[in-house]
Amino acid sequence: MSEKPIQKPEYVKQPLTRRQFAGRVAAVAGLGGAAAYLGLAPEGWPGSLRDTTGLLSKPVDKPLRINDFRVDKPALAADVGIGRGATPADRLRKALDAIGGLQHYIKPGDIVVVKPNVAFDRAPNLGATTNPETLETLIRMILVDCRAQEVRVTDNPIESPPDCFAKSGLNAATGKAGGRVYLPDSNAFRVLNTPGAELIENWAFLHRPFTNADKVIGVAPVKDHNLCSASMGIKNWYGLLGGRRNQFHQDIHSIVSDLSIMMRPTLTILDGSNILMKNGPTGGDPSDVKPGNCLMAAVDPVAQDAWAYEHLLERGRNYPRYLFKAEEKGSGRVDWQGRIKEIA
Amino acid sequence: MLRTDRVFNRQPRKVLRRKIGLAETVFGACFVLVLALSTYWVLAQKDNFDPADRDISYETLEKDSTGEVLYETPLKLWVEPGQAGTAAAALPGTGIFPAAIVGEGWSLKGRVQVFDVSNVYEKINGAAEQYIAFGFKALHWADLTDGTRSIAIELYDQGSFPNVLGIFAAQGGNKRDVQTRGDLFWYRTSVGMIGGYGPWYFKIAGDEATESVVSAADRILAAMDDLPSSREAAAPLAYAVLTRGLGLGFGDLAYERENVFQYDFLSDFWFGKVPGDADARYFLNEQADAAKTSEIYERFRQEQARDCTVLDEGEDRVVMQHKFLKTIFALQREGGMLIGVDGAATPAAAAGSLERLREAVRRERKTDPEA
Repeated sequence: MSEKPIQKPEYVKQPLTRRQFAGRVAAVAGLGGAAAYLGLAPEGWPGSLRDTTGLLSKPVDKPLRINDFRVDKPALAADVGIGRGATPADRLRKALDAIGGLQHYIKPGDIVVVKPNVAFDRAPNLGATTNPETLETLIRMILVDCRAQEVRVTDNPIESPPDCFAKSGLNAATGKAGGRVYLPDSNAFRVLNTPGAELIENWAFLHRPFTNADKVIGVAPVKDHNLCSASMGIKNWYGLLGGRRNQFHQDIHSIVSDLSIMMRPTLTILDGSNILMKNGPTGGDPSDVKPGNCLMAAVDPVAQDAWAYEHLLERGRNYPRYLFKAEEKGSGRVDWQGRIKEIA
Repeated sequence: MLRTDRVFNRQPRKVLRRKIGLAETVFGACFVLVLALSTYWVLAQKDNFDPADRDISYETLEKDSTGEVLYETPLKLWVEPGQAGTAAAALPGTGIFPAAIVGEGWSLKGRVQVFDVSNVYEKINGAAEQYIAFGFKALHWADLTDGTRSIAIELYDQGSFPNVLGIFAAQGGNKRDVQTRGDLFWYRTSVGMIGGYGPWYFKIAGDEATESVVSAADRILAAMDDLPSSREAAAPLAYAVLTRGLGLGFGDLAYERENVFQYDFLSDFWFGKVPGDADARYFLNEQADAAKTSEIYERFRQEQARDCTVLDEGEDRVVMQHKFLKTIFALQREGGMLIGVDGAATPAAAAGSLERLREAVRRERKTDPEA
């Protein structure tokens, strides 16, 4: 058997001395020992990476802060606009004109998040969810009149989100108008930090649709509510919370007032087309729903809710406590006198 | 072959090749550039992504949502050997609902969902507290569809008939045009009906007031008295006396669970307005047995006598006049029941009303001998 030829004759071989060899063995042993210590040393020892409880590797979610989406209203425009007319489109246009027009608030290229109330798996005739016709009109106005880049429609309903969006007619309305529905999934939430909030200072928030968003508009129905008398523009933001949010119903006025500082929207639209006068928030009997010819748009959601409580729900001036708490937190003023403009 | 190479190479990182090709150099440079750009993109992107790229599609979520069922209907109902045919009240799929809710083109959309006190907020958050205040035990929810329209049936187990009446009244049902059929009662809405039967409070609501929805709702209503109802949870005799026996409407009925007449020993009383006398009302209370009835009767009589003057008294009956209000109060022991009239204008009127009430109780007892 002939000797195997050297395949790489250009390689220069260098011999290793005994000292060098010992040094390298020591280095390898040192590194191995250090790795073994880090991995095997009991939990709590300096530098130990053992994590039997899992606490060491628990992900730390840095609380998020979202933007203040408010836009200063034009000089001489009202804080709250009321539009009256035969169709939702007519009412919406008039209400927006009263506060300076939608084009003042939404600029070309904006990414706009629209938050309807899709809380329940109910047909639109029961008045428990936002009127699909109003939502469709609003999306068209944002995309066509204001030339926004994108309209994202989102909510975190109590029941199955796809079923709620489908049955309420809001999925179809969004698709028809050119918007896109963003449904919540477990990865769409992040912990939101709301300074000054009593109950939700750090709480899970449906964040994903708000990524890179420029403007936010809430579109809520006017409803009776079993616990807090009324569910209107401010209460609508409850739908962006995640986690076991039902516990907040024990202190409903605090949570609703917290919502007013959690979200500082560009605009709040309150739809008085189908008012759920009693047995809210779920309803169940179309005769509890009173048809109306009024739609509101506002930059002050507190004044807007106060006016709607008095004039649309017809409950007088004994306003819900959460409105006063929201005022204390700087979200607006309950006293709407002199700040309303109505276009019939 | 014996390997003669050293174990360690003293110059491991030294390029020992004498030549490195141009292509290799260019590729290396490009590779490093791509790596640098990728790293920059990852670092710069942070939250600046299009959420649509990371969104789960509507179709996927919809598919998942139908897969998440809280109640798994048993695949096959257990039927005792030899009793086949008698236990077919509910077929698999309709859960607690009578099988007759489906048919004539209408079928279940998804499974029947069941919620209890711990998770009812997942279905009716915000409204749940009102039901819980009236003894809520479970909510059974079924969605029916005929392909174009849909009907939702909400069936609340409130534990007892008085609780059902309580939630019915709290939601304003007693002010509506209530219809009855036996123990089943309901009023119509434009898209269905709302009513109760035994411990069940139900709402049937279609998505539109079409003829097909209304006729399907009628069919569902017809099946409602097939719901399971124990004697304890069924409408009590007092209710039957006031509605069937005396013909009072729902708006004329009231029920007080405790502290009746502001006495802590009186509970579970039914009241009904006396026709033709705005201030007078019948009252009825069922006790477990005659001995207990006598005990309560005696105590009630003694307490009332503190504020009233006794006008007439027999072994099982007493008529009194309030010392200040001057209204007439009559109380009678009738087997296991306490019956009476409160707030009558005259003793004769009180006696007449009490007699009508007593006759109605006796008639209803004959109708339902177990009562």
